[in-house]
Amino acid sequence: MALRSLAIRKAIGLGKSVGLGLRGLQTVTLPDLPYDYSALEPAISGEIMQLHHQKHHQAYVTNYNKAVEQLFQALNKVDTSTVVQLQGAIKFNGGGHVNHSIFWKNLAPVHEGGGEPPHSSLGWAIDTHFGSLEALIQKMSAEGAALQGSGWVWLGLDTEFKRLVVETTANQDPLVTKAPTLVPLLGIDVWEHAYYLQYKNVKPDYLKNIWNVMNWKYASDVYQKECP
Amino acid sequence: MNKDGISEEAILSAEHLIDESLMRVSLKLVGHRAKYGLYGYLDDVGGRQLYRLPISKYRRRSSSATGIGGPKRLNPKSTFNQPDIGPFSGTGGMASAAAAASSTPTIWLTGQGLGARSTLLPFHWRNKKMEQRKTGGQISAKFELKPPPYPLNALEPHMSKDTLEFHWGKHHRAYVDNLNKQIVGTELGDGKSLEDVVIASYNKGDLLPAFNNAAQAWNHDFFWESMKPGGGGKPSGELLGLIERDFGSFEKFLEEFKAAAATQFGSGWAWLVYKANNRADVANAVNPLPSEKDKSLLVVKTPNAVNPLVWDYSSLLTIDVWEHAYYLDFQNRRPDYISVFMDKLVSWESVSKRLETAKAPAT
Repeated sequence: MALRSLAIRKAIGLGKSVGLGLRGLQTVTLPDLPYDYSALEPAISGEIMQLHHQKHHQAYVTNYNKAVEQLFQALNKVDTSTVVQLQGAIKFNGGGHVNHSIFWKNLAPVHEGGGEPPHSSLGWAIDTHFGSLEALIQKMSAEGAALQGSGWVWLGLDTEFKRLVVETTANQDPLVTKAPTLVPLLGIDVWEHAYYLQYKNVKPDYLKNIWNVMNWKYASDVYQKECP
Repeated sequence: MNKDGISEEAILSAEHLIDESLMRVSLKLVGHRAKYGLYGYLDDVGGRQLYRLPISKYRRRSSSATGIGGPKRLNPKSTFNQPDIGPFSGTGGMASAAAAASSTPTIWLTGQGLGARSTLLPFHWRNKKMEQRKTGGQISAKFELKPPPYPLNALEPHMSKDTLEFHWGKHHRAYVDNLNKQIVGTELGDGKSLEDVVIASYNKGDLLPAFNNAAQAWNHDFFWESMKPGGGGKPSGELLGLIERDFGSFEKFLEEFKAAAATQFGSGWAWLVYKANNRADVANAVNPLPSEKDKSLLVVKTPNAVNPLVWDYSSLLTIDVWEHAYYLDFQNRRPDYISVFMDKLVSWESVSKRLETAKAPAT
């Protein structure tokens, strides 16, 4: 009798973890770049692109997966303090993965349209909200230069008010941490690893040149989806 | 006084000190006319100029070029047996050498292999605190960029010369220059020490704009002095005793310090601090019976420019984990940088000295 209930309990336990495994924990993977590492030169060097993608972004992916795995176990064990303790690692690494996945898409080689100004509705919205594309670029570059420490500068869309905004976030905080209604159209990584080997301490030069490989098509697509 | 107005005393003591081939030489000048002579200066727009002057010969400089008379600016690229002080800035006006006239200034001559008396020597002002300067009749107080206590290539191969040139010569310099610009004409620029400016601009957490530059200026001074060529190894004496008491063992301390440095997300610093525990960490509470047992060593990590001054801890050691500190040498491999720092660069002498100061009763 006891044996039987033990066997049943074990089976249930097994079924539980298998079930959870099947429908629960999905890991993230490092997305491929849509272009070669050297394709964004001379704005961003191939060396930086390779390190940035293969080392930094990969580390965020690996550590996010690890943190989520640990979170999963903590949730199963109802170990609330571990759940809470893991939030930092999840935000940091998950944010890093989210942000960089967008970043690779919002850059493009010149021969694939990188640097070509936005047209149609996004172009019009930029002129309305900022006066001109140049004004927007200047504002974003200035915010990026003034950011102290590590972080990102964003062109975002406030989906509630259908309004374009320029925001900065610290470390790897995704734009959505500023407000849940914000959708990123373009992000510029101003962590030192994004430019140091090429530009050293001269962050403003990096912020000037990156516009030559900015993929406004991606930003337009996202904008048009939210504001049809 | 010789014909240039330099006292014999000053000349002799300068030559004497130089002959001793000290790495650093302290030279006290006597008299107002010091501007004609032993030192050259520096700074102004764009950063420092380094001037070299023959010590044994004193020539009256032509006052026409500069208007105040001072040392000739020499070709900064001329090769000479001198430590690599840092990038020379190619432009910039001649700063008021009358700076010296205001008090008896201390001049630091840094040199390696100072050699013969008539050898040209590089040197520059060193002034940890505010320096009162008379510039066109107005007094302006400024912070100075102090060089590391070793040549920029002295930490090779563990920390490259390139890294020091950029980290000290560009980043640290910019913090100091920008701080000076920010505080001029404000309360923060009225003769406070750098530490006071850091604490005032921290403003209990509601950071004033000058905080980032002030704190980073302080942090980097502290960082250079936390390292030395041929550093690393283990601490000894009282410091080791306290580490073993508060962490269990030196290895456990190392583990904790390295972990703190590796897990500081984004930019920041990791610190070994001495916590005097005179204040309990609750509002204005004061520890009614402070004793030696209360005081302890701690490892803390801070983001961006924050440092333990703001909590009234005494800092003993720091490692810079902003990416610019290690990216040229280690790229993304921060843990490797941290290991090399602990194994090969830490100056336990500096740490011990700071502990002594921290423990000394407040006067």
